[in-house]
Amino acid sequence: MTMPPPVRKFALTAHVLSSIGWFGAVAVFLALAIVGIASEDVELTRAAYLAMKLSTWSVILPLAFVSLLSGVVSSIGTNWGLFRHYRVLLKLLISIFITIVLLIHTRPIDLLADTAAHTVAFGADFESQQLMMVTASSAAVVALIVLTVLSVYKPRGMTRYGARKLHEQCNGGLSGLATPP
Amino acid sequence: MAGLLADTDSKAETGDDARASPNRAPTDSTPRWVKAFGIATLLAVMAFAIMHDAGHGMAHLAHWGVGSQTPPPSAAEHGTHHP
Repeated sequence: MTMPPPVRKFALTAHVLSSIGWFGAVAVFLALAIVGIASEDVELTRAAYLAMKLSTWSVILPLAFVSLLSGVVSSIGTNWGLFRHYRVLLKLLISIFITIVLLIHTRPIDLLADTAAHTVAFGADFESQQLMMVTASSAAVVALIVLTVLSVYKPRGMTRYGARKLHEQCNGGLSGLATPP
Repeated sequence: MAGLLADTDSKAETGDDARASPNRAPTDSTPRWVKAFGIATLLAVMAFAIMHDAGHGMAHLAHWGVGSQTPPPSAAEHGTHHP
């Protein structure tokens, strides 16, 4: 199934915008997480965790879902397919993994933000959660960089499913293969 | 695909050569980079899980009742409520 060019361009635009935004938002989140754990300024720490909660729910999560959805649409609607090439498949798996990890971490993010809203200083009990925010957002930044590298370098490799589909297309008619959609 | 800088699907869009074509000839075996990538990813996920566990990640939160708006003891001890 291939999409008409206007739809494909729209999906691609949404995907690029949301993906770049996702990376930027996670990078900001990482900066806030580092401030939260390293800063001596209590007010700054509290503000950082409140901002982290706000950015997570209003920016990072929506962008992650838009990126995932638009990526799936862009892949399905072109000859690249979703399961035909290793790099596309890997990107899908990594994106799903990051999104799941993000969803899991919304609970400690909420806890830290709620605590910041109601207390003056964080006790030692919070150190693990504060460290977790730095670790998780660092991992997310690295994973998003890996996704970018896969997108730009486009390493070769077709899955068995992709090879079979290509073989079927070749047998079915070569006209559609000469030019990508 | 999902991820940064989406795949474009034509040479004109990417300015790339034949490598960017979705219909280039397949190879029989799994590419070496996929195997290396898989091993590296596995190691990274394991390292992440270990670091997560080392920080008493979720167990701590379950103990406190995450989402219940109940701050842990240390926060209550140190904190003062704001209007």
